[in-house]
Amino acid sequence: MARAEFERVSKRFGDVVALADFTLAVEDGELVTVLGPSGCGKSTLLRLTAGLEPLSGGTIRVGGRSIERLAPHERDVAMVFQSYALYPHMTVRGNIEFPLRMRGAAREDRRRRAEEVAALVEVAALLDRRPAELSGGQRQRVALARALVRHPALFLLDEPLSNVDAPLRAALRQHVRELQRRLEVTTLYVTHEQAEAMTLGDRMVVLDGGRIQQVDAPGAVYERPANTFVAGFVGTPPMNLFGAEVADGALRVGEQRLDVPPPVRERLSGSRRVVVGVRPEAFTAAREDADGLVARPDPTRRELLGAETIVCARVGEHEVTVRLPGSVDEVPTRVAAPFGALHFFAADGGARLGP
Amino acid sequence: MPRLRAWAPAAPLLLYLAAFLVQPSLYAVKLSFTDTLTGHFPSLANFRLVTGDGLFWRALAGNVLLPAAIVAVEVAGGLALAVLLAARLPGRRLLRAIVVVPFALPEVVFLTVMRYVFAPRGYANAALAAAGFAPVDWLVPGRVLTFFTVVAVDAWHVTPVVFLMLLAALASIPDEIAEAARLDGAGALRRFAFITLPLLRPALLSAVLLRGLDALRVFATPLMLTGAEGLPVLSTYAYHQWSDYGNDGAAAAASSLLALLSVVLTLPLLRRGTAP
Amino acid sequence: MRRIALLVVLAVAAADLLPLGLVLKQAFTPERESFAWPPTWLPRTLTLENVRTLREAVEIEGGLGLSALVAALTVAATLAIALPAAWVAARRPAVDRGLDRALVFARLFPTIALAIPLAALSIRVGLYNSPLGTGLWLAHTLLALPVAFLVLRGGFRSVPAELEEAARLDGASTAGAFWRVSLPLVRPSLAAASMLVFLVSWDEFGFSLLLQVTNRPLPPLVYYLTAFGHPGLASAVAALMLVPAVGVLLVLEPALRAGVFAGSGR
Repeated sequence: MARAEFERVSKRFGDVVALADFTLAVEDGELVTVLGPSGCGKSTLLRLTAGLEPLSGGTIRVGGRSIERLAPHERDVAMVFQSYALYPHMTVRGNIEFPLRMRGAAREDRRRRAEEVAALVEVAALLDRRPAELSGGQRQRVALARALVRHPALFLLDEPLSNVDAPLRAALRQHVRELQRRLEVTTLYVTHEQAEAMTLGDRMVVLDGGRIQQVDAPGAVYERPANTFVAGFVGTPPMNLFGAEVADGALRVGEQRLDVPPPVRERLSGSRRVVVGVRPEAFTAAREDADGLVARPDPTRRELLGAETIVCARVGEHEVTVRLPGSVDEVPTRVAAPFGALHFFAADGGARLGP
Repeated sequence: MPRLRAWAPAAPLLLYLAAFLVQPSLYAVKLSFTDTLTGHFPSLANFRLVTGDGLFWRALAGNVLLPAAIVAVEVAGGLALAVLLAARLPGRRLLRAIVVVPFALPEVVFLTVMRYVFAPRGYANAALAAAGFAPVDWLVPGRVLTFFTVVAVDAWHVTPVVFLMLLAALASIPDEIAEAARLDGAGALRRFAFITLPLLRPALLSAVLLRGLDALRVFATPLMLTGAEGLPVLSTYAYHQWSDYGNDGAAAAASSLLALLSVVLTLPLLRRGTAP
Repeated sequence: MRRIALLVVLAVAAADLLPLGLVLKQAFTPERESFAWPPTWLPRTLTLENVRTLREAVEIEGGLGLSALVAALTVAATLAIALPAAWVAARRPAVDRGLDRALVFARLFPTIALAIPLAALSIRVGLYNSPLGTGLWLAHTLLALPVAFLVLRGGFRSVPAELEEAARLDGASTAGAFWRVSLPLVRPSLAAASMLVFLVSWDEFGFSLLLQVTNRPLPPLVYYLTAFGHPGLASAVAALMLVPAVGVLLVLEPALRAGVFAGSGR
C-alpha cells in the first residue's frame, strides 16, 4: 500500500523511444488504467516499473523510496502477465506459495496465506491442480492470487483479460475491480481495450508514441479529450473529426455557417482553421429548421445493431458517423448536433482549444 | 558492461573452446612448422617431407574425390528414400524405423561388420557365389573398385541421416501445394521437378554442406577397411605419420592442411547458420 | 510404380537390417564358424564362447569400465558447460548467433587435426593413456558440446522468458529463477542431451585411438580385435557396444536424432 510516483521516466531501445517523459503520481489505493494502441509504450512502462528493463532516464518512487536501481525482487512490486506466466511444473498451491517461499516465509504461514488468497479469488478448490488442468478464467485468477499473496506495495497488470473469452471478461473485470477495492492496493492496469480502461480506472492514462496524451477520470477523458488522438481513440464509434474555418465570428463547415457564441468565440480567437470534433451519439433527427451542425444521412448505408443504428452521413464534403438510438427503420433526411456538443482542436498539432 | 555481462553464462563454453579447439589448433600449426629432428622453429622441413611423399598426394586426391562421391551418393540416396517413404506405402512407419537402424550402430561396429562383408571370403562374395558369379576383390589397395566399396560402405551407414533431414523438410511441405499442382494438371514427375525439388532446395543445400564437411574428415572408414595405405585420405595419412613413424611434425602438417581446408569450406555455412 | 517403390524400399530395409544381424550372429557363433567358406548367413551353432573369452581377457573389462567412465565424465562436463550457455542463447539472440557460429567449428573441425596436437600435449603433461581417460573425456566434450547445446537451447526456447521474469518479481534472483523455474521445465531436454552425449563419447573412435594407446576404451579395442583377425571376439565387443546405443536411439524421437546427428557423428 503506497503511493507510486513516476518522474520523467523514459526508455530508449537504440534510436527508438519507447517511453518519453512519463510523469504520473498514482495515489495510495488508486487504480490507474493505461490505455493505448499496441506499441504505445504501455507494456514498457510496466516492465520498467517491475525492473525487467533498465530505465534510460527519470525516477520511480514507491512509498517514497526510489526503486529504479533495485533488482525486481527488491521492489515490492507484483505483476500479472498477459500470458499469466504460471509455473507449469508446480501446482496451483505451489504457484501461489512461490513468492512467499522466496521470501523465506514459514511453511505454516505460507499455507495459511495461500489458502486465504485462494479463497479470495475463488480458486480454493483447485489448489492441488496444475496450470494445464485449469480453464483460462481459472488461470487468470491463480495469476492474480500469486501476485496478491505477498501484499505488494504496487500491483501491475499487463492486459490480464486479453486471453479470456469475451463472455467471461466482463465478470472477471468486475472481480478485479472488487478485489482491488477490498485490498486497497495501488494498481497500474495496462490495456488496449477502452471498455476495460473506462470501467476499471479511477483515472486513466492515454498513451501514444511513448508519450502521455491525457490523464484524467474516464468520464472526463470522454467528455473533454485533450487532443485529436484521444478524441479519435476513446469512444466507439470514434469521434468524427474534420476541418472547418473560423471567420467573422462564424464557423464554416462546407456550405454551413454556424454562429459562434461569445464564450466559445474567445477560445477560437486567433485560429483561422480548426478541427471540429463531434461524437456520433451527439446527433439527433432534426427538422428542416433545426439549429446546430446539420448532417445528411445516406439511407443506403445503415447498420442495424438492435439497440442502436449506425448511419453514414455527410457534412459538406466530409463523411461522418451518426449513432441513433433503437432500430431506425426510416433513416431521417436530416440529423443535427447542437453547437454545445462540438469539440474544437487546433488544426496544427491537434491540441484541444478551451476547456 | 551490460553487454559483457550478458555473455557471462557462456563463459565456460568460450573458455573451453579456447582451451580445446583454438589452443590445440595453434599448437598443431606450431608443430607443423617445427623441424622434428632438430627442433628448429620455424622450419618448412615437415612440409618438404610431406610434399615429397607420393602417399601424401594420393591422400590429398582421395580427400577431394572421396567426400565428393560420398555426398553425391548419400544425398541422392537420402532424397530417393525420403520421397519413397513419404508416400503412403503400407507399413511405412516400420520401414522408416528400419531405414535408420544402420545409423544406430556405432561407427566402429558397423565398420567391423563391413570388413567381414567385403573380405575375400566374406558375405558379399558368398552372395555372388550363390548367384553363380566369380568372387570379387572388393578392398584391394589402390584399385578403383576399392574406392567405390568405401563410398558404398559410408553411404550404407550414413544415408539414414540425410534421409531423416530430407524427410523432415519434405513433411513440412503442405499437402495443399501438391494438390493444387495436381489440379493444375501437373503429373507426378512434374510435381516433383517443379514443386517438391525447389521447396526442398534449402534442406538439400544444408545436407550437401553438412555432409560434405563431415565427409572431409573421413577417417575410420578408409582406415578400418583398407588400412592407412589402401585408400589414403589426409586424416589416415596424418595418423600413419603419427603412429607408424612417430613423426608428430609431419602428422601435424598434414592434419593442419586438412583443418585449413575444412575451415575455409565451413565459412559459407556460418552465414547460413546451422539450424537443422 | 507403387510396386516398384515397395520393392526398392524392402530391399533397402533388408540391407539396413543386415549389419545388425551379422554382428549378433558373429557374436554368438564360434570363431571357427565365422572363418568358414562359404560363410553361414544364419548361425549353425549358438554359443557364449566369445562372451566367455571376453570375460577372461582383462583388457576387455578394463575397456568397458573406461568407456563407461569416460562417457559419464563427458556427460557431466558437457552439461555443466552447455547448460548456462544454452540458456543464455535461448534468451539473447546476439549471444546465440555468436555461440552458434563458434560451435559450427567444434562440430565440423577434423578430429585428427585436434587429436594429434592433443596427443602431443597430453604426452607433455602426462595425461597420455591416462587410466581414467582424462585427456579423452576432455576431448570428447568438444564433440558433445554442439549436440548438448542444440538440444538444451531447444528446451530453453520452449520455456517462456515471462516465467523467469515472474519468478524474479516473485522474489527469486536470476540464478534462482533459472534453478527453480527453467531447469525443472527443461528436464526432458536434459535427459535427451545426457543420453546423446553419452553415446557421442561411447561411440567415438578417432580421439580414443590416438589418446589411449594403452588403457583402451571399447572402440579402438574393437578395431584392434578386427585388425588382428578375431571376428567372434570383435563382434562380441561390438554387440556389447550396441547395448546403450540401440537403447538410447529407440527412446529418442527420429527428428531429434536427425537434427542432432547431422554432421556430428564422428
